[in-house]
Amino acid sequence: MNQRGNALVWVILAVLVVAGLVYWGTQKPAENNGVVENETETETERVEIPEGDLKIGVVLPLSGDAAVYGQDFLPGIELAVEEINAAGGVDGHQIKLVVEDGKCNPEGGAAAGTKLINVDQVNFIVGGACSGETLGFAPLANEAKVVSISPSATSPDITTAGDYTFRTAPSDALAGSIAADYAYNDLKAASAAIIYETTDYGQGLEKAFAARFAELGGEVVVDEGFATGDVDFTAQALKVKNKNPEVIYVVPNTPTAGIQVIKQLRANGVLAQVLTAEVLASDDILKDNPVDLQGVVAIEPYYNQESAKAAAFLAAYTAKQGNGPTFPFFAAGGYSDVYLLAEAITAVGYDSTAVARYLTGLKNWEGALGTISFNEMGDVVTQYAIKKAVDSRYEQVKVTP
Amino acid sequence: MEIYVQLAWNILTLGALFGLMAASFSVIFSVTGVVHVAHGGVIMAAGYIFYSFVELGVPALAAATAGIFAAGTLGVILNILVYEPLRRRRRVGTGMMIASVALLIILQNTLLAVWSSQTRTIDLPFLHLPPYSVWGALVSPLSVLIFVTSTIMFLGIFWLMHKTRLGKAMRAVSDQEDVAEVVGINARRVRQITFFVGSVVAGVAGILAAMLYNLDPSRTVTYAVDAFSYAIVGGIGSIPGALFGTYLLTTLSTLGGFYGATAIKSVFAFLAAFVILLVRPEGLLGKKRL
Amino acid sequence: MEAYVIHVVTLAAIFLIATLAFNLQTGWAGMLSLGHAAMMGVGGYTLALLLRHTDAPYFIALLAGVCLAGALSAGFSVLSRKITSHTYSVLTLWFGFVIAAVLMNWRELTRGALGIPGIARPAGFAEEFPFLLLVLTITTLVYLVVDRLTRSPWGRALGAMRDDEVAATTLGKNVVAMKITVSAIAGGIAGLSGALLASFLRFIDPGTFGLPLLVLLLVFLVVGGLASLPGTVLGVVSLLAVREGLRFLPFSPELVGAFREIVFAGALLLVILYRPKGLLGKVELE
Repeated sequence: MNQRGNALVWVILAVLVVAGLVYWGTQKPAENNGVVENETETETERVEIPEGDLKIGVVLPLSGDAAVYGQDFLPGIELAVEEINAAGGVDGHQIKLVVEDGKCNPEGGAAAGTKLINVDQVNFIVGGACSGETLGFAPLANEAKVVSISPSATSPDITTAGDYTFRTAPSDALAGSIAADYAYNDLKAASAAIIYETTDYGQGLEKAFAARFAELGGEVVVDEGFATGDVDFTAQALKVKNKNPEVIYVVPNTPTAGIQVIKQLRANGVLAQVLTAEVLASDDILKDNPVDLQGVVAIEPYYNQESAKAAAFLAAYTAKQGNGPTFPFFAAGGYSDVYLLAEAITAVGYDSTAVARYLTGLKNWEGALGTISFNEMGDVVTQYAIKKAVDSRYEQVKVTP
Repeated sequence: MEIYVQLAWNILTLGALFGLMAASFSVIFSVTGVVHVAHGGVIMAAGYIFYSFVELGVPALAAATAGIFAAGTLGVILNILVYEPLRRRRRVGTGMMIASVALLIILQNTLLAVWSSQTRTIDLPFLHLPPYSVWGALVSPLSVLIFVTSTIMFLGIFWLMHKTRLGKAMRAVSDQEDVAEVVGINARRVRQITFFVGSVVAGVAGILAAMLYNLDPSRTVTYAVDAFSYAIVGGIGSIPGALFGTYLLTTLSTLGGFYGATAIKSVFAFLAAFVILLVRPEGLLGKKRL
Repeated sequence: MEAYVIHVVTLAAIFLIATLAFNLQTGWAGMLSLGHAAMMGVGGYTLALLLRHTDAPYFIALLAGVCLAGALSAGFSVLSRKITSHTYSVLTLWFGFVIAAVLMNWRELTRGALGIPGIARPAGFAEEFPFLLLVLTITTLVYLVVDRLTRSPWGRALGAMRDDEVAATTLGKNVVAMKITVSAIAGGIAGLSGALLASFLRFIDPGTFGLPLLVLLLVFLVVGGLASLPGTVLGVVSLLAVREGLRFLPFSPELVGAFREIVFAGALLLVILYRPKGLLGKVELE
């Protein structure tokens, strides 16, 4: 670059300094961002939905390793929109989805969220699927007072991500301890092995399981992780075989990895009872891998699949896609999230603060997830179902209180 | 005791399968000079095509042939559409490698768009046969198939490279392209054939891997990085080297996982690879540097 | 809309910092380091952890990130001082994998895959626009520093080393010292970029600095062109514009992820095929 170019850089620098000075000169005291105004405040006016379609943003991973989530939830979300629109929309406004790829990472989530919030001017977002992308856009969304509901972000940090961040999936701290309870109390296992994927989800469940199982008096004899993308699990399988535990708790992030772990355990002659999480709890996965997954027990957040709304959702999804959802609980969650938003908007109007306050206090809401309630932190209060793979479907063994 | 027999047999099959991927990568690199990272996409494409034909009810052998042939064709197409034009513009080395990364992304996302990210499992009665018991270790028919097929393929590649006129031409192009041209070898044609042969071998590996590890588009990157790393450690351009490098690193990562922590088992392999290349930049059995 | 533009421009400026350093090392010194994204991770995690666990002032934490990334990068180049060309690139790639594995598995320190939420921005720059001004100021300074370096006698010596290492040695240049210095500078600047990215996103996890980020930086560099700083600016700005522009094309939602990736990679392929030196590059990739 020549001397003139260099001078240009100095000019840019000078402009920056001036812009900064002007900015701070004219700056008003900062507003209090990201906090739902105190409840003692007088009732605000109901805000009507602006002219035209009601835009709802969607952030899901649609490329890369985690695309399996996005591709699975999106049809359910679209289904809810089609149904609501066919029934006349929300207050007469048709819902229009704006879908962005959050890529399952913080940067992707932040970029997708900013675009939805500022360009499409959405007040409401369904997503993200991964905790990483959700935590990526959560600070921005809370500052802009945009309500988001995630069907599947399970990181404990989501709880404290902000007052506008909701989820219909439980924090993974709980699921691991439920699995430990079942292993120790129901299966009467004194020793357990854990094989988990080193992701926020796998790590969260592993930690909770290990802590709870030890507290109950059991012994965790093998506690081994695997990296996303690993294909060979010989070392894990043989370590487990060496210690011969009574149960094995397998926590993968995607079905591909989970099937592979169980397949290789069996191929190496490890026949102990396998416990796993919702990732492998779909009948479709079982139908594709009937031999390897036979007898596996999956612990999934409970929802009454026989309830009219849940059954209707599953039937409509299957009709639309030709197969059922890979993650029935999460996909039903995405579908419900749209209905939750639509109902909240119908009840209290377009103002996102009013919607956030409505959701925070929501109790015993009936949807495709059965009856759900949110606690004051925006987390859903859930029970767990324990299901066993028998032939080509998972049969419910019991439901935790 | 049987644990160690099992460990040894598992490493033997694992190394045979990945050795095939590494060897096919190495053949292509040594003859054409292309750091063909998109190889991972070719491997997976063979698996997916095999899967689709099996689902249609085509007999397994015919489906496998289709997958292998498709892989070979895909390799040749990539060469014609991207690598040869780059070579005509005198773009070799790093530019070619980055083009290959772009191809890898394109292939992975094409697989994602066509077959979706759902896990695809090959369903053949053969895969459900009970395993043999050898000294207390379980030996599945699939692992025997992998080991036998890979061994035959290795011998085949070795024979092709060292006992045939084509192999002689390939080695000539590999050593000194201009000289090869002078003695009447059509280098362009040799490269074309090399891409076909290398991709066919990759296709075989892809089909075996599909049966053993199932299918998921994200495997594309895993196979690409693994084949690439093993081939480089073994020594670029050396087929026995690729096999040796693969066995060394898969053994290290499996034992590292078995005796240490499995979450970082690939770290053991990468660290070993790192040290080997620091000490011997041309790789274990390689003659020239990358 | 403004807030979106501010977001994208801030991101572009942060990526530009990293890509400038990338170009210094690759374009001038001829060392294609594929550990660059991992160095950003080192800077980002150092800042985030210091702010989380100590009372360190923001800029001290930032500086610590820069120094640690620079030191790691320099230490690596001491080890690999005899290694050239592709072998060097492959080694840096593995080095990056090992660092990523440390971030992922040293749970007591980094919280592993859970990542670190609530990363602070410096006082007075917490909001989007002031933060953008801060980042732009730093980016401009980095640009000036790198520009000055490349035009100094040392920068010309780097070019000589890239073109012919043996000749440079014969001319009395200390090639090893140059490699170590340039690695330290490039690594440090990458760390700076990573630390700013952590502040900007306010949440990072090991995946933030993974293979996709590395590929993105590589694409910026190659499309912009080697050994040209204006080229790097153009590369980063135009490709981020393409990436963001693709959001506005009406792909069907089911295929949106895959198609955007394909179009982006296709654009890269076309540049390599038809403009081998990139948009404004001075030298070709060897």
